[in-house]
Parts: sequence; C-alpha cells; structure tokens
Amino acid sequence: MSLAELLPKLQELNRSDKWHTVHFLIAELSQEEGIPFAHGATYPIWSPYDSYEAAATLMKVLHEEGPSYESG
Amino acid sequence: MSQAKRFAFTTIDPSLGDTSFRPMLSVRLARRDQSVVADGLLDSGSMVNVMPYRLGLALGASWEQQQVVVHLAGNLANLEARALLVSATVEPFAPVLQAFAWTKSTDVPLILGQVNFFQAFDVCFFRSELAFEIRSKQVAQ
Repeated sequence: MSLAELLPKLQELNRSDKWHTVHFLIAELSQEEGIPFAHGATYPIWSPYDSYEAAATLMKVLHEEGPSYESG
Repeated sequence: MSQAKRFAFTTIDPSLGDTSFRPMLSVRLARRDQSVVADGLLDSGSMVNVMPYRLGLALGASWEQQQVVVHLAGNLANLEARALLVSATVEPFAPVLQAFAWTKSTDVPLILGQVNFFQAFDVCFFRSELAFEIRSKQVAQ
C-alpha cells in the first residue's frame, strides 16, 4: 500500500487510534535509527502542541489580570 | 533587547548517549512571598507553559482559588488545569510575568512554551554545540 492510499485511511481513525499510530511509528523509527527505547514501552509526549484553547485562555488571563498582578 | 546568555544542554541519562540531552533552563518562580527554583524544559512546540501540581503548591497557590480552567490537548488532555500567573526570573534577565497551565499531574515536567515564555524571550538552539542562547525582549530596568 502506498502512502497516498494510506493517509486517507489514517484520517478515518478515531482519536485514540491516531495516538496509537503515532506511538507505533515513533517506536518503529526509534528501533530503525538505533535510539535505545525499550521495545513495547510507552513514552509520554508531554508537549501540548495543539492547545489553542489553552493558549487563548492564558493570553486572556495575562491581559486581564497581568496589570494588577504586576502593580500589586 | 538584551544581550544573549548562553546555556548548556542538560544530560538526563548518560546511558542514553546522544539522545539524553535536553534544553533545560533553571528559572526562579515567584508568587506573592513564595519562590522556588525549578528546571524547565524549553519546548518551542508547546503552545503553553505547563506547571506540575507540586510546584504550584510550593508557590502557595490554592487549586480552589484558581478558577480559570485551562483545557489542554494531546497527552495532557485528560488532566485538569487552571491558569496561574507567576513571576519568572532567568538570570541575568529581569523578572517577567508568566502564565502557566497548572495541572493536577505531578508527573508532567515544568514546560516553558509559546504562551508566554517564548513571547518574553528569544531562544536560539545550537544542538550540535549542545547549547542554547536566550535573549530577553524586555530591557532590564
């Protein structure tokens, strides 16, 4: 199966299966490139890189409460 | 714009060899009369700053009193988080106000992300030299 055929099928996966796919690919690449991750282990990816709502919330708090925080 | 300050990458686990280096930055966090020094992970891919639960407690924050709920995504999506403003100092720069998504998790590292650490500082990575440079956008008082 080519990548062009595979991508539409990946898009059909639910959120949980997409994350499993990401973890599977990371494990595969790590193994191929000799990065010493334990086979079958789970490694958390902490980075909240799609947290648009969280970013907007923090910006709002900074604008609303920041001035009084700095002067207080 | 300030002068750049250079820092070395930190080795997390020497047995991992070249994959063990992280851009960790020592930062003094302060809130009211409490302060704590912690190592934060410089994460340009993170949209927000993230603080583990224990650090917020060490800064005297009360979970119940922080009423602005923050909805995180990715692996942190199942964690409760609240907005917390703290003063952050990276020597030798002046303190800057930082907003954190303060999580209930004690496992999550202190993450310095786009909102708003990378808004306050320019960061340049030199991975081949195992170093990074930081420049404050604020002019020191």
